[in-house]
Amino acid sequence: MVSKTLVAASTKPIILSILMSGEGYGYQIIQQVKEISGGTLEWSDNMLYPVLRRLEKGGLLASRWKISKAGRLRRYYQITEQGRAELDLERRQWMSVHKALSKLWKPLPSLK
Amino acid sequence: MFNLENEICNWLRALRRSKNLEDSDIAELESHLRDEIDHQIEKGLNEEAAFCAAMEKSAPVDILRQEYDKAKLYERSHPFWHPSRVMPALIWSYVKIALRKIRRHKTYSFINVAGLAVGMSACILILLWIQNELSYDRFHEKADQLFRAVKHERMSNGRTLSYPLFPTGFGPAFKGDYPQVLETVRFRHSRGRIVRVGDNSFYEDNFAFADPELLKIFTFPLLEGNPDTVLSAPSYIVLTEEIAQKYFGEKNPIGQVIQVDGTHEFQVTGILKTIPHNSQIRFDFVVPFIALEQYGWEMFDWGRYGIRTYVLLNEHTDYQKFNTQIEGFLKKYVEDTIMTVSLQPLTRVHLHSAGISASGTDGDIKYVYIFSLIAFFILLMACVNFMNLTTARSENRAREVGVRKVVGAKRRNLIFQFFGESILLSLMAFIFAVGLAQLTLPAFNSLTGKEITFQIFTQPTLFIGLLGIAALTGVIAGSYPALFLSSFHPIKTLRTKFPSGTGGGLFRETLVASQFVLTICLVIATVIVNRQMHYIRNMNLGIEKDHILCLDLKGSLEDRYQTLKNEISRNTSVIAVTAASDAPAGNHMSISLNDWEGRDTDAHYLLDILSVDQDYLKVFGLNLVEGRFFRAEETNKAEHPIVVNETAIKAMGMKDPIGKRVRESRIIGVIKDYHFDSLHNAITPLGMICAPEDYDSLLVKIRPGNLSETIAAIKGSWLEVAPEYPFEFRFLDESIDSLYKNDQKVGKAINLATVLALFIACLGLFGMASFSAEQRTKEIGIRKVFGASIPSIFFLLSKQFSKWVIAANVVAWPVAYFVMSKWLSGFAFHTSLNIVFFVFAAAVALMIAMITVSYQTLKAALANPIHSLRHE
Repeated sequence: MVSKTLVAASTKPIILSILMSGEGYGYQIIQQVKEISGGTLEWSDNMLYPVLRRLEKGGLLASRWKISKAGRLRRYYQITEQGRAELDLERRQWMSVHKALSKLWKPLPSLK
Repeated sequence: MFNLENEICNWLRALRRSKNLEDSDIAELESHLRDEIDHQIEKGLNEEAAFCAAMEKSAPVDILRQEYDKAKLYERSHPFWHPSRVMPALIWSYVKIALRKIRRHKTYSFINVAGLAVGMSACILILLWIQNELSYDRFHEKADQLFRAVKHERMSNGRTLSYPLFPTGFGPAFKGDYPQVLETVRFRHSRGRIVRVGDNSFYEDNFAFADPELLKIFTFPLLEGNPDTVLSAPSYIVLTEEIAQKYFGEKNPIGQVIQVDGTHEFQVTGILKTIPHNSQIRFDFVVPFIALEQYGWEMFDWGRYGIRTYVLLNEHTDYQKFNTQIEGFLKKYVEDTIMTVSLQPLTRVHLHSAGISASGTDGDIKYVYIFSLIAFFILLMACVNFMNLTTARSENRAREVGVRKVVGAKRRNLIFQFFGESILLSLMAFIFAVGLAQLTLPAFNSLTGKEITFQIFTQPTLFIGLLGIAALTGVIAGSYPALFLSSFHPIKTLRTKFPSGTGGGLFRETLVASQFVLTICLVIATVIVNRQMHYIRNMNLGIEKDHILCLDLKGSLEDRYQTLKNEISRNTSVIAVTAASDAPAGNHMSISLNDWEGRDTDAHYLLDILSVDQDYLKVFGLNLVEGRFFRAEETNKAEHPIVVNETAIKAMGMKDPIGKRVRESRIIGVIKDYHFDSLHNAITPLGMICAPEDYDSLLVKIRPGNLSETIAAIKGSWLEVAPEYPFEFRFLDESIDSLYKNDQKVGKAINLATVLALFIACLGLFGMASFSAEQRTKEIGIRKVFGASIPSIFFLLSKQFSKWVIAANVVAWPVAYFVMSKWLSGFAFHTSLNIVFFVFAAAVALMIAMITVSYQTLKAALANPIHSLRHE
């Protein structure tokens, strides 16, 4: 299980990364997160929506409404130019953290 | 029994309680919940279990709301100052809709706002002027207790002659006789003094002699000096700050000595603060009244009238009652007089002195009324326009009203919206109007000859008043759409195409027609005023007024007039020179005509007196009817010869007048009547005497031709005789023109008002024409398809507007006739009211209306019907 703070911190890059491969709606995004993380990233499902809204208001995402075949309203999100730039920044930050930790933890696998 | 839909509804309701959740957020959350439930059902759960499972995975409502609240803080698209953050969403939507409408209909918005702004700025300027006129003399602390004494003399021909001039004895006696009188101040204004300071001399026109109490009862604050002592000795003088600055610069002026008229010396004892521009009593210098003794005045005399007397009354005295007591005051001191006395409140002097001669004021309450009326009408016209266009446009919004009602707007919401919109527009116009008024104020000041300043934020009453007018305009203009449109039934407006532009049509037509009534009245007034001015300028006055120069005989020049006259006559381009007390352009001395040989009635007239020399007839081309004129050698004869005009003879009822006695004079000649005064007045009795001590002007008749050379030559002669006086001259025809200064001012104001009114009316008409052409696009298309020609369509569209303009004439003519005949009757000699003026005004109005309308109608008539009919 991943701690709450870390989940909160990683939400933004994860959502932006998922949307890099094309537009998607909330439920879809959540399913994808679960799939990728293998269930280690546990969110209260609908907590994603305030985040999406925040990202949209911040100009990182754009959204539009569509109606599914079953007649359900769905809001599809799309990453904007600004969102891509933001993701780039995030990626660099995460990579440097990752690199630092990797160096420190190198001996660890041998302990196994 | 579990009901899934009910549960979902309850959950959504709980969410809705947060104001930071928008409808879209809730819709999104709902769709998520349903997806999840579907997912669980697919896994094989029943509805209830699926709902519970989905709830399990969701965050509790409170936490979700908190998250949304946080998200709200991150909103960057609306910074904290953005209107949507400070006002309710619905109001912001109204504002947005209003601004959008303005943007989409630029022409209408422009006409609407521009028309109103121009009207308002004209109104602002006029209000400023009125405020200034009404503010005269109110800055004195005791303004309510201060009065000016006026004497009245009723003549047998019905004329009452009023002057604010008294003998020197009047003030002190008046104060002594009535306990209500706390103080009197005698005041004599004097022009044309030569002031010498060190090596410099100045020619000064604003000299005053006044009792020392002047500085106590009036609020003329001293910057330096003690008001109790500055005028306590006959040789003391008080200057205003500008004059002190001009004479002494940085030096301390107190104690300096200045010389007046080369003989009298005064010591500066005080400096006055600049006299406010709205003071009717004006002076640059003041010396003690007693100093007049040096100029040959007696201090307690009852014979010579030339002193203004101001009176300070006890606080509790009702001056109107007091006036009845003092009416006969002069009889006590002046034998056999018919003069009566009254007090005029100081604050009324500037505006309420019509009928008082030599009042020294140029204000008139009549003009305040006229201009107020003009301001009111111009504003009214602008408002009418505004109302018209707002109303016309608003009918295109019937559908909006329908939609708003369907989604739940109450009638009061709509009323609020429409009022809000029109108030928004009128406030915009107000802002433009203030800017426009600021910009045009200098031009306005030069037109009115005032120094009005306009600082809207330091004049809160004015600001609030104007803002009130703007808001009121908005409310009136918005009332029709607000009250009428909001009553529409939504089904009717939405189901069919709502027949717009029909309701209120008559209402709008009447409004436009009433604008034209005003405009036509003003055009007629312009024509008649200009006509009258032309008439006056070209009327045969009975004298030759062209090519005559007036030179003032200032100060001590009176004694040297003969030398000066001889010197100037020597120039070849000078035809004749005469010395006289006045040029024939108003302002005469006058005496009572109550004693003549063979007087058999107790008739009592006023005889205007001119003091002239033997060449007066020659200079002005006047003719004698009987007898002879003055001769060069008879100037000092003890017989007091007098020449009178025909009117005087008629008034006295004399036959065979030559040699008869008038007062102490003997008639030697009768002169043909001529106009020696403003044409406002009929010709009155006139007497000419030959008294060199009264000569104030030299009148020089010159040959037309090389004017500048002639004037240079005359200047040369002047400088030879009187080098210490600057050479100044006027042309007589200018002086005569200046008799009609006030009339010309009114003329100018009416010209301007007419142009403004025409402009505003045309703006309105233009707006209406384009609106109506737009409404009838389809009709015109169909007509054209069926073969209507362009002229016939043009005629069809123009007919509607011409109808209004013609109807407006019917109303305007009688009104204009009534008002203008009143105005003309103020002139003893005036042009007649000709029907041609009225027809002319009608033609002008109609033509301008047609030109305005033709742009739109031609556009409509020339349009290809394909475009108008395509979208059906």
